[in-house]
Amino acid sequence: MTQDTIVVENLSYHYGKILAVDNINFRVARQEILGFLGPNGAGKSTTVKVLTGQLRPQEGHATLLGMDITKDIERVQAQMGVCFEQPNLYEQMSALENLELFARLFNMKTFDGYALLKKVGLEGREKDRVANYSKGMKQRLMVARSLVNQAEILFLDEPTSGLDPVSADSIRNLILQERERGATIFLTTHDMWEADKLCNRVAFLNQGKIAALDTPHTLKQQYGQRSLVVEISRNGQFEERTVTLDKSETPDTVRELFSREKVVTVHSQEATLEDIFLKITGRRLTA
Amino acid sequence: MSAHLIMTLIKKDLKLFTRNQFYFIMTIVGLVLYIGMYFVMPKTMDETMKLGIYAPGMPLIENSLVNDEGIEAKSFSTLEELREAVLKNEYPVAIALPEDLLTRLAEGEKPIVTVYLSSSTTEEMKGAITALVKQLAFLATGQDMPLEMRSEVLGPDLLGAQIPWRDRLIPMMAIMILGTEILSLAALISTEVEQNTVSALLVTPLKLHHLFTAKAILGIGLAFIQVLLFMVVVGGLSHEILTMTLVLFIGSILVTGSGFLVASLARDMMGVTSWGMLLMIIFFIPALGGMMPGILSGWAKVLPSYHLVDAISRLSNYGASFNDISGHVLIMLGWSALFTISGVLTLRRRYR
Amino acid sequence: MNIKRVFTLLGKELLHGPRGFILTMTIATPLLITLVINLALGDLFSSAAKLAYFDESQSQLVPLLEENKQLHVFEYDSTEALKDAVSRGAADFGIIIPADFDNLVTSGDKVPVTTYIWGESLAKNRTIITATLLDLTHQLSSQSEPIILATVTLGDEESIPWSRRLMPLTVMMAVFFGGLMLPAASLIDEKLKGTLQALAVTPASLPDIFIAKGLMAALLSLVMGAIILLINQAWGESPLLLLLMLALGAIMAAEIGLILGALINEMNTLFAVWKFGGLFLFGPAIVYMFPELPQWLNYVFPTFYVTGPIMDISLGTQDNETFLQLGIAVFVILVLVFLISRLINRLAGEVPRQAIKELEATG
Repeated sequence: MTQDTIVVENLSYHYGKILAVDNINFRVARQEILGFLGPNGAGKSTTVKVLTGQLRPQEGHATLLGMDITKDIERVQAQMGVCFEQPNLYEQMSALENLELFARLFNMKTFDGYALLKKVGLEGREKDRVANYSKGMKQRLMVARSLVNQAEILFLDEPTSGLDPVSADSIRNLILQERERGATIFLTTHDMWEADKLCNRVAFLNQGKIAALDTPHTLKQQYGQRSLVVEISRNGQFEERTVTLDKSETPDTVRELFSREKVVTVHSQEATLEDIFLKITGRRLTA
Repeated sequence: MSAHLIMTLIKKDLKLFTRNQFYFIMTIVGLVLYIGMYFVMPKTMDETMKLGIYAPGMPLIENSLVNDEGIEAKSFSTLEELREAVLKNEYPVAIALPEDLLTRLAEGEKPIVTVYLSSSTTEEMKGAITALVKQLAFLATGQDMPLEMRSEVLGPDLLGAQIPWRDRLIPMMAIMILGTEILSLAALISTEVEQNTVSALLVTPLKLHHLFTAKAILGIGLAFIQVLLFMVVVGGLSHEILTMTLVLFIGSILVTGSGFLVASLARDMMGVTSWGMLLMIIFFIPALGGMMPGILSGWAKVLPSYHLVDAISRLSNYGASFNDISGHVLIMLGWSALFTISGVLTLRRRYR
Repeated sequence: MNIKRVFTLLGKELLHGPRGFILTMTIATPLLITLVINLALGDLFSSAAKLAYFDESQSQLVPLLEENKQLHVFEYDSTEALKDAVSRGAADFGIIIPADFDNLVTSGDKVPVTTYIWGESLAKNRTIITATLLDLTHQLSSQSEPIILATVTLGDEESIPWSRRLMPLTVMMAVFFGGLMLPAASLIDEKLKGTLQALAVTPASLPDIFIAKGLMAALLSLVMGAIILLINQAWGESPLLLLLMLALGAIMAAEIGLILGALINEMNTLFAVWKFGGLFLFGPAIVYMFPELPQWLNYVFPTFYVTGPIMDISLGTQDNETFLQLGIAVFVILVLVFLISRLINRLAGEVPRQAIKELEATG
C-alpha cells in the first residue's frame, strides 16, 4: 500500500463571512497526480494556499509527507515546489538569477540552472531579464522555479496557462517526468482535457466542497453516457443516428441499423469531464 | 540556516540595487554633492560688521571702533576711496567724520557726520548703523552711557570662535542623507509586495522574520555606510569617534524602522512615495534647529529625529560626550523600536 | 485626441486616482515645505539681531523697542522664561527692564540693568543690540545726540527683504512639487501594473491619457500656487496676468512630470531623478535668493521663464523683459509638448513590439 503524501481532513477556510473551503477531505498517494477542477471562486486557490502554508487552516487539518502543516510547515516547505497562478518573478533579474536565488534558498549544493531552463524551453534566454519575457516565457519560468528543489510534492496552479499548444505539451510531459521521478503532484486547472490526460484522479470542487473525486475513467463510467454515432447514407444524403450503449435494447438497435440502413461510419463517444462536472454540479467548469 | 537565508536575500537585494545603475550612481553623486557643499562653504563664521571710516586726523575714534569685536573697521585716506568701497559693496556701511569734528564739539556745536550706505543694505542694518553712530558720538564727547549692563553669558561663549555655517550644517546634511533612505527601504519592501515575490519567497524555507531581518540589515547598512562616509570626510568624527559612530548607527536604525512603517502604511509604490516624502520632511524639521538654535519651539522635541540631530550637533560642534547625549540615544532606540515593531506587525498581518 | 474621452479619464483620475498621493504630495507636502521655508530660512538669512525683554514696570522703552526696525524683539513674562529663551538661542540678548527704569533714566542716573547674552550670538549682533538699547534709552531721556546724522545711499541695487527673496522658492515648491510628481508617479504606476497598455487599446488613446493626467496635475498645482501667493499676500496689481503665469508654470510642471513618467520605468529611478533634478528645477529660486550670484545663471533654467515673470507681476515691476520671458515660457512649453508627442509615439510602439516578442518566443 502506497503511503499517502497528502492527507486532508475536514479542512475549512473562510474569508470573513465567505466560506471558501467547506469541510473537504481527500488523500493523495505518492507519485499520484491529483487534479483539482472547478470554476473560478470554487476554492481551488484557497486550498492550495492552505496546503502550501500561505494561509493557516481555520478548521480541520492537513498533513504532507506525514508532517502536520500547522506545526511543521517549514520542514514541509523544504520538500515542496509551488508554481503560482500569477507570475511573481524578480523582473529585474535574469531567468537564471531567479532560479539560482531559489536554489540558494533551498540550500541546493549543486544546481544546474541551464539544464532546467532547457527543460522548459528557455534555452538561450537564460541571461535575459524577466522584464523582457513574454507572458508565456514567464509562465515557463514559473514552472521551472517550482522544480528547482526537486521537491517531493509539487503544487502546480494552472501551469500551462497562457502557453501555446507546443509549449503546453512540453510542460505536460515535464509533469509526467516529475511523477516518474517520484513526485506527488497537486494540479489545478481549467483545462479538462489536460486533467483527463495527466491526472490519476480528479476532484471536482464547487462552492468550497468536493462534489466528486475519482479517476477520470470511473467518473465517466459513473456519470457519462456512452454512445455510438452512426452515419448512414439515405437517398444520397448523410444522416446521423445516435445509439446509446449499455442498454438492453442496444444490440437489437445496432443489428437493425446495420441490416436496414447503409452505414457509412461508426464512432464511439464518451462523456467529457466538462459534461460530468455540469451534470454533478449544475455549473460549467469554464464560464 | 537562518543566516544563510538572510545572506541570500541581502545579496539578491544588493544585486538589484546596483543593477539600477542610475539610482546607484545618483546615490554616490548625491553623497559627493553633500560633501562638496560642505567644503564650498566658508570655514569661518564672519561675525563682524564691515565699517569703512573716513576720519582725517582722528586716530582715537578709529581705534575705538577697531577695538569693538563686532566691527571690522577700515580706515580710508580719502572720501572718494570710502565711497568707492561702499559702491562696490566691499564695505556696505561707512561713516565720514568732518575734519573739524572735535573743534565743533568743543564749541558745543553739532557737527555733521555722514553715513554712507550701500543701496542693498537692509532696513535692519540701516537702523543698526544709525544707532551705533549716535552712541559713538556720545562716547566721543565723553558722555556717560545711560545704562550699566551687568551681563551674563548663557552657554559657552563662542565670541571669536563661532561655529562656522558649514559645521552647523553637518547635522542637517546627515539627516538628509539618512532621511532619503526611508524611501529606499520602504521601496525595497513595497516592491516585493507589489510584484508578489513575497508569496514566492514564503513557500521556501525562508520565513517572514528572515525577510524582515534581511531588509533591515540592508537598510541599516546602506544608510550607515553613507552617513559614516560623509562624516569621515567632513571631519565629523574628530571628536568622540565611538559615540558618534554609535549615534549614526542608531540613526540608521531609526530611518530603517521608519522605512518599515512607511512600507506598512503604503499599498503600492505611489503610497511609498507620498508617505515617505511626508515623513522625510517631518524628519528634516529638527535639522533646522541644528542650523539655527532657538528657531524651533518645544514641540519640535517631540519629533523622533530631534534627538538624532541634537546628538550629532552636540557631539560634532559642542564637544559633548556620551553622557551628555545618552538620553537621546535611549529615546532614539525607543522610537526605532516603535516604528519597526509597528511596521513589521502590520506587514506580518498581511501575510498571515 | 477626443475631448470627451479626456474628461472621462480626468474624472477617473480625480475620483478613483491616488487620492492619498494627491493629498500628501500635491497639497500637504508643498504647504509643509512652504511653512518650513518661511519659518526657517527667513530667520536663517535675516540679518536682524534678536532681543528678548522682560518688562517689570510697563516702561516706555517697550513701545520704542517694538517700533524699531533693526531688531526682532520678543517679550517674555518672567526672568526664567527669558533666560530659557536666551540659553537656547531663541534670542541673542535678553534684558530685564527694572521696575523704576523710566524714572531713573529721566533723572539722568545711570540705570543698572541685568542682561543675558547667548554664548553663540555673533559679535556684530551684540554690538548692534547694545548700541540700539543705548540709543533708545537716550531717546527716552530726551537726550539728543551731539551730532547731526546725514545718510547717503550709494548704488542702484535694491535691498530685497528675505520674505521676498524666498517667494520664488515657495511658489515653485507649490507648483512644481505636486505638478511634476503626480503625473510622473501615476504613469510609472500604470506602466508597472499594465493598466497603461490596457487603456491604450481602448478607444482612449495614449494622447488622451497623457492629457488627462497632465490636466489634473496642472489644475492642482495651479490651485496650490494661487493659495501660496494668497498666503503671502503677493497677488499684486494684475491678478489675471499672474494667474496666467501660474497656469503656464503649472503646465510646464505637468509636462516635465509626463516626460519623466514616460521615460522612467520604476519609482526608485524617479526618486533618484528628483534628488538631483530638484537643483535644476529650483535653480532660479536659489539664484534669486542670493543676488550676489551671477544673475545670468537664471537663463540656463527653463523654469526661470515662469518664476521670473511671476515675481515681476507679483511685485508690480513687470516690463518688456517680463513679456519676453513669458514668450520664452510659451516656447519652452511648446517644445515640451513636441517631446511628449515623440515619447507617446515611442510608447505606442511598445504594444506591437510586445506582440512581436510573443511571436518570437513561440517560434
